[in-house]
Amino acid sequence: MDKAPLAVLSAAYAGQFAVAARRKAAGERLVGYFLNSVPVELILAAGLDPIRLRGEPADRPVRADRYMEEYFDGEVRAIFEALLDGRYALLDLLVVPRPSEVYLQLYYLIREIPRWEPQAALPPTVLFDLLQTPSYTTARYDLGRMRALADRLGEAGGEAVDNARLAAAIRTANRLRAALCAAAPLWRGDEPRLSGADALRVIGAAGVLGTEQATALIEALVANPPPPLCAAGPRLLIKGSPQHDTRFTELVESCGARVVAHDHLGGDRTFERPVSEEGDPWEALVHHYQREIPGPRAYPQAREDQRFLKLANAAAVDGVIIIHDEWDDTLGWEFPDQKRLLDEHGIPVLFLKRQPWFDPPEELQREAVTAFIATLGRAGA
Amino acid sequence: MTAPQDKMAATLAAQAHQKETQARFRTEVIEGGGDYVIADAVTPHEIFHTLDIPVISLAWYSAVIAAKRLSPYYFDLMDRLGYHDGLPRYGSLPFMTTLDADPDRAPYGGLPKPMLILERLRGDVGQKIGEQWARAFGGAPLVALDSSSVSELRPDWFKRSQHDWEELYETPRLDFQVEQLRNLIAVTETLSHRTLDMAEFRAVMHRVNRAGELVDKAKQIIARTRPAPVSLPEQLTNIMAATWSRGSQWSIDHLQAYCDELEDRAAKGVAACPNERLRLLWVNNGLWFNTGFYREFEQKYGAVFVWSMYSNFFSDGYRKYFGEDEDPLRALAARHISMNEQLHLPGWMAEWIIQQARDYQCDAAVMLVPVGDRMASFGTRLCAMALEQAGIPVLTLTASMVDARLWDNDAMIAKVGQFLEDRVIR
Ligand code: SF4
Ligand code: SF4
Repeated sequence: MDKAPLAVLSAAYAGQFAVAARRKAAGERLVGYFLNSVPVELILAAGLDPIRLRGEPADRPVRADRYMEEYFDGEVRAIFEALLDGRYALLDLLVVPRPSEVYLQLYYLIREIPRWEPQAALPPTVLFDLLQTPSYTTARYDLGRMRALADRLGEAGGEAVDNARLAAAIRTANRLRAALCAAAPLWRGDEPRLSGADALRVIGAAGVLGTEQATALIEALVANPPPPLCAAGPRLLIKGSPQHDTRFTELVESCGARVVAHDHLGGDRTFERPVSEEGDPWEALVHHYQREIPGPRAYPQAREDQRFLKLANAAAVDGVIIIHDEWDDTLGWEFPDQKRLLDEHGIPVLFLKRQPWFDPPEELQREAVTAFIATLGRAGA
Repeated sequence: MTAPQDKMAATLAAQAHQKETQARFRTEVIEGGGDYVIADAVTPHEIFHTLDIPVISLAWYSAVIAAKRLSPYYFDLMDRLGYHDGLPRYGSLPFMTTLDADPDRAPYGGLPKPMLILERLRGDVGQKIGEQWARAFGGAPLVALDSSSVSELRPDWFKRSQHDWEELYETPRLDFQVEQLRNLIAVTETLSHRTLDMAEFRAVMHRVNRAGELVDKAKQIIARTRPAPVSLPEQLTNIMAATWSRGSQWSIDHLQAYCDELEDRAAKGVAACPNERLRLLWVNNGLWFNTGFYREFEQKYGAVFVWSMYSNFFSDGYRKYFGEDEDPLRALAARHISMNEQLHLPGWMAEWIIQQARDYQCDAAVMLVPVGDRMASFGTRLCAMALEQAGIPVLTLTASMVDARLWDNDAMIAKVGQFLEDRVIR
């Protein structure tokens, strides 16, 4: 590779639609999706090409606001704006998962739009109704949803998914997860070589690029890492609403901290567990997405919180910042338990509730973060 | 025309029935220590009704707390416990009485440990609050019915939902819901040492359908009769009482008496507002703490609210017919998986409300969008656009519904008045 892997990954992260256009032009059949709850393994097994997309703060909801209430998460409003703008039209299929109510509502809004804007260039869109209640009955339902999604991928030009193809796709997706796990010490280790913002870029790029290419680039990054950062300051974990964009992480790092881990849907826990390569691949896939991925509807909460704590310990953090979207009505219910858990483990926490995603109050955020860092004692150590 | 009358006899009977139900709950459960279930409003209460197990709906206990003016205390407790002020808190007031653990303060001495907490996970939080609440009771069983989502909003749900529900709501979802209901029945039977009787369950399900037919009959009378023979607050009292005791013979007898009285009033020209000149829809959540608001526009404008979602959702949304050789559980599944979808998903919400506007001969709509409860706001924008496109002017009122004190009554009255003057009165 002529360019440094980090530069390629960062560019892919920054230009998700440019990458999509390039991949499309190269003959890929793109299946777009959001967040971590769409089984990329099925898309790969069908011989199609997954691309994980995210909302960008530049997409202010001008057209979207006509249809979508302002109480949606900011990122979802940005996604809807980009959709109305026709930027998703190059997809052969868009899979909208149902990790939370706002994404479900996004799906129905997309389906309503042709009635109002017949000229809008929207991709064919399908709902993936993954449920995460921890029960056998739900697993059976999810298995049905997986099979239905495989059929829908077939209609979009994919091949029939059999056990052998699915098992191979699971191995492919696991290699990417393993590459990310191997890369994680670059931002999470004793001697970080990547900033927290770079970590988000690497994790984000892994979903934007083709799976094989992303795996190769991340493996190359691990083999040839940049030198250790000379930055000092306390080690922090950011948790809460998805932070796919780097604004808040950069703000925290500019206040003199190092962000060494992220526990949200754009962060470290999205690749922590591989899909089992043993047994029936469909059942392994169901188990993974129903029970092993983080998400706002996943419970029991105590189990999710233990995984959060495990990440905090693995990253040896000095503190945690929990940040919730302006209209969050979900994650806030978890906070008292999480605060108690962190107190028990002597980990200080800063809680930033109700933070607007568009035009965040950066001065106030900076003040709060700076004051928090000052209490940690290790700043500048 | 005749002058407005006192309350309908049916309304007084509905109120008395509600009081009796509450009295029974106090003696049997709170004082007597009997089994009961805490259940979300959109869960299948029919199972517990068949088993004769009292159900406490969160909405009811929240309302009691609010009526006793205890909400500020519990909101304050939420602050101290770290539940931030952006969360939809009203519905979790009952949970707070448990965390507070002060029987002297909580209405009726607080809710005792239930046999079961039943949540339906139509949003994202039922499982979170349910788990914490179950723990606060010292380990009450929690059953969370997960909520699958329809993949296709097929048109005319209200024409197809009574007989043609298998295709409308999608077979895999119905299969899943039936399995969940079987699990729920097994858990309930185990905990209560009772057995769900098939014949009685079937009868309950038939009675719900029969009650739905009577609600539809009431709708026809109100929709065609100008001026309307009943006020919106009285409609709600009668329909909600029947909704909460759905499946009982009382609900059928009551609705029959209500319909008879409506016919009688219609024949005699007895009207909620004899001066009725305009008919209005009230769209989205009800103004439960201030139903008097609905009547503020009668004197000055002759504008009468004749419809809200609760007027006839029972007839259009609850009725699920099934054959004698079919499993009534599947009909119950159909009733509950679709409830909030029909009321809140953009396409389904709009087409139903437009139809109601036509049926009830309405001139305009007022839509409430509650702040601090975003679930209840979803779909409202597209619904308002669709109503306007259908020629029905809409006023959207955005307001905090958490606390009655935050409702600026004069300002809201002025807004509606202005809307009527600018867009409706010709
Ligand atoms: S954590 Fe799991 S996926 Fe990651 S490298 Fe280790 S074994 Fe592989
Ligand atoms: S009207 Fe809507 S918000 Fe209210 S209880 Fe019914 S489904 Fe829920």
